[in-house]
Amino acid sequence: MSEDERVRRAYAEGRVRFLDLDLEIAPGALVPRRETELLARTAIGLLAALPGDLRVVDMCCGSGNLACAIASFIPQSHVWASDLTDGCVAVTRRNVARLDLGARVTVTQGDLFAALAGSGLEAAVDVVVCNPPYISTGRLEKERKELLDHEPREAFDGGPYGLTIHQRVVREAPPFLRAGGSLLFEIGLGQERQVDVLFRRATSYTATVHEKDADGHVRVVMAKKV
Amino acid sequence: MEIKEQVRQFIVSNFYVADPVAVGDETSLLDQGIIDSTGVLEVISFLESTFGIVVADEEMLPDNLDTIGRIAAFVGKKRA
Repeated sequence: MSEDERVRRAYAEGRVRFLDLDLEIAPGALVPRRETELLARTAIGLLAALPGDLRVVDMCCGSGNLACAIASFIPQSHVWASDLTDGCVAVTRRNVARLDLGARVTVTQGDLFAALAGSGLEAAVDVVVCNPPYISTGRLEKERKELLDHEPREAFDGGPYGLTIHQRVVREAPPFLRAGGSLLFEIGLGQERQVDVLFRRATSYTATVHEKDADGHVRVVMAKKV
Repeated sequence: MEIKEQVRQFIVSNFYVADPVAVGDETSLLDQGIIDSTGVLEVISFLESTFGIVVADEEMLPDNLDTIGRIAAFVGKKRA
């Protein structure tokens, strides 16, 4: 099944599978892609090796797929899921309720980490996961414009170079991460060198680690706060 | 060598440019597919190391970086 068919079917059925979860989906939120399961599995593996109660942020949460997967698979975690748009926040809340995760997933709305101001999470977060929009505005208006047939622009548009949100999250995450806490991104094909440079320029992270998909493409880049 | 020529040499040497002669001072590097999300930070690193400037995150914009002419003007302004 092509990606376009999968998206259309998900909206028609109002449901999508993500890892082992059955999630609600609705127009206004991105249909979770299979490649994002790599980010989920990587975060879950990282968290499973950590002791104690764990604090996780899912920034740009979309339909809440990453937040719900992490909360489901890591029982000692509390996840703060945040997005800018009404549509994403509404679908995330419904998925949290549907999976009975309300006690361990807090849904917030705002412009990236501004949504967490005053939450008491400063220097306390173990892991930030982020699947940001990462397609450049120009590509979205030309060779990838079919993506906008069904799904919201906010889910894809990463600014003129496709890196605007990565760049902001790299800059805004350190005040919330504890020392040794990790920031994990999904990236577009071929973006790993650029995202490595973003981390390096920020100077508050260790060297990056890459995770590859089954085809050998790097789709997850992560680093720890020093 | 003037800034424009240094930038031009860097770009044609480090990115796929089908026809270097066709890249004028006002040719859009984004529209031509020469520089996008897989290359812009290399350009910034080059500018910083070659011209001794620091490019802030919020300066990573097509207004400053999308043509050789704009890059040269941006570098000139930063060095002033």
